[in-house]
Amino acid sequence: MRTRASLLILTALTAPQALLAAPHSASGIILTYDLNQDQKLPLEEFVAARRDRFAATDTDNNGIVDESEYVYEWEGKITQRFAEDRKASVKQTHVRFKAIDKDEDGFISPEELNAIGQRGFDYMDADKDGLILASDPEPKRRGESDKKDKKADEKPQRTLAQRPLLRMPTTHSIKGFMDLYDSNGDEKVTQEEFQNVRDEHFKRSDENNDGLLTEQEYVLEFEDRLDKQIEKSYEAQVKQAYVRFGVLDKNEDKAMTFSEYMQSGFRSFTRHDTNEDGLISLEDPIYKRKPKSESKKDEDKQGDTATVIAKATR
Amino acid sequence: MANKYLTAALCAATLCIFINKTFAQSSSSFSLNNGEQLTITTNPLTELNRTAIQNIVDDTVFNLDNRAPESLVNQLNSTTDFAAPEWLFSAIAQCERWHQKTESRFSCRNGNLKQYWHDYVHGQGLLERREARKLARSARVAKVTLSADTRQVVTDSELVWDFGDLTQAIILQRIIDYLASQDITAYHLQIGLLNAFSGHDTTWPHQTSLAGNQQSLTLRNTISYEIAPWQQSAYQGSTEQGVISHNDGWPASKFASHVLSENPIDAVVLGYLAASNTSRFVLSLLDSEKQHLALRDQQQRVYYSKHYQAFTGVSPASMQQVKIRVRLPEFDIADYQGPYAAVWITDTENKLLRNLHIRGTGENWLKDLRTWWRKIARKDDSLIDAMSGATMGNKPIEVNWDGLDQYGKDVHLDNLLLHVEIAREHGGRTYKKIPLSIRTDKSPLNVEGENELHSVQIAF
Repeated sequence: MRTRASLLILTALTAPQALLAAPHSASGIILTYDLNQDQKLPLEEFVAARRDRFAATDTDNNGIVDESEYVYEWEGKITQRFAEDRKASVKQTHVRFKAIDKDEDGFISPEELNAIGQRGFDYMDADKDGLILASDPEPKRRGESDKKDKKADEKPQRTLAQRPLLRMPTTHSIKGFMDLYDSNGDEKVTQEEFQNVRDEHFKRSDENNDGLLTEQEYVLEFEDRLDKQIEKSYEAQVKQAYVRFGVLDKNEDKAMTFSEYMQSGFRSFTRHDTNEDGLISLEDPIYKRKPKSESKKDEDKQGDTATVIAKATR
Repeated sequence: MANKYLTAALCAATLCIFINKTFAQSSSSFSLNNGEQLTITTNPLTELNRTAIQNIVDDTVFNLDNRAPESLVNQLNSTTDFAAPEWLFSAIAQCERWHQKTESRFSCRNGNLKQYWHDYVHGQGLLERREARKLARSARVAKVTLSADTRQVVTDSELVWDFGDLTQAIILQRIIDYLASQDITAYHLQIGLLNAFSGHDTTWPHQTSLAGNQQSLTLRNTISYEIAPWQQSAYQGSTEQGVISHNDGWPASKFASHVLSENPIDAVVLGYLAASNTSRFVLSLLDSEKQHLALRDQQQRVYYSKHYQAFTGVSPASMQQVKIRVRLPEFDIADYQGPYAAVWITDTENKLLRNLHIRGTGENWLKDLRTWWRKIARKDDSLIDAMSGATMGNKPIEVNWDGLDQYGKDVHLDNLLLHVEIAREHGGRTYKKIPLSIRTDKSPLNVEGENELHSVQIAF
């Protein structure tokens, strides 16, 4: 298994953790098509915005979206999202630096970094045996004990926010922890293995070898890993766009007509309009993928919608 | 009036310097061969002076040109051990000092990085963040040794020097030195937005466009430099705008600035740093008694260094001085940490006019200032960078408000609200809102507080 040396990000685990507002599952579609920015997406608004988007994607104006136009349009969208995600991630890194620099002397010493590291290791090591196994249970999330004060029927707050496209390896789960620290791929992380990875990270960041990390050293090393991850994720996104086009291009003529484009949009709309009121908003219950037996019902529903669409796009 | 005619008569007879009057003598231009001009306004120059000045200009431009095979910089770059003439050694030494002081946020070592950008702009390569950062890092960690007595520069073989960002400043410094050697003591030199104003008894009018409006200043004995990063290409011919950050090779456009300094290289470096770093960082580098800085961000908000306004004579039509003193309680507790504090002024609808003071630098802890965080800081990405500073225990907060809003404009209102919020780790949070009528009621106020706030005194 390839060694992926990334720093354990622990401030999120050690600072008091409120129940974070997760993005609503329909955020993507709302944010993309909500022209009047009232955080609600009625069918009419969606149709209008989807039409505009087809026109914008069809750059040679021949009434067809071909594969390259489709992928090019997607690339434009994700470039912006990656830029926003990147900015937020770098900002967090500066915050993290200040949190790790406990004595606020402007440097992270090996002791300060190890202190954070040990807290993270201990947090993962539920049975406190100095060893973390791939088969270990997930650690109890901090703040969970506060939950018992919450009413059973209280819904968690959902926000209208894009899910980040950019995800760095995380240590909030056993799998994430293994990915980062299990250097020899033996499905367990010993203290020694853990410390080696962290020492390597320190050394790699310490440009002038003075045994201390400045904010710049810390952040620039993170940016190296961040940009590598962006490159990987970007390529994956582009690949997926080709795949998506392939799926939608049922007759394989590498051309998507306006009607096909609108229909694919409608399928998406229907999926997220979970309360079936012709409007997508934060009020819709979160969309959950249904098991196969129910998907037939969905197809019928989409058939009805397809009729409506066909009428609308004539 | 009589004085003026007397002085004029005297001056007709002798070559003289007007006392405390603006100087209008002849201007000469010298071309820099890249389209730029050096303009000198002074007493008429002799032919000898002109020739010498043009020679200095040509010599500097040529020898700092990485693309001229015989230039000094090319010789410097082709050997690991180089003896430089005084003017070049001085520039290298100053640049290295800045390099060291700012952890390479300004650098003359980025020849490889600049070449990378050059290739990209000319369609001969890609522009990738990681590669740019790698080149910048390589330059940063290279070993350089300078020996002042022999003017020896010893460098790693990998390092490629590039003085493109300092060429204007170096030319100006050489001309200043030349003029001094010729006993020419009253002059105004200008290349682009870099100006040198002589001292002695001469004052110079100067226009800056900071804070959105034209400001007319009167300057003497100073170097003045302006830069607006979002109005320029990061690299000549690039669509990307800003300045190339020397520490990571990527364009940045943080602040436009007006810098006043005693030294051309310092002026240009500070402007460059303001364009590519947080305001707190740049302000921390200033010797605030001798160097002055006005910053403007892309939202048109302005920040001034300690004595900028006094030095430049910039002041609004009706300059208020509202003296605000926030006293903190004198607890006798072992762990009295921080506290975090924010002081800000709004109109009666709570619309922000100006943030006056922030104590505390960590976003995680500043969030404890709930009201300030929710209403002001959360919406504003750059604010904490711009304004926050160290906590100072229970030392009183003392702020003088000059009646300007965050855009540097006069606040024309009478009824305002002063907000004070204090939060302390292991303590509580206290928030106070104090109504003011700054034009109609100028009697001093003393407002008692509670918990984390002892009192607030306001005087006009």
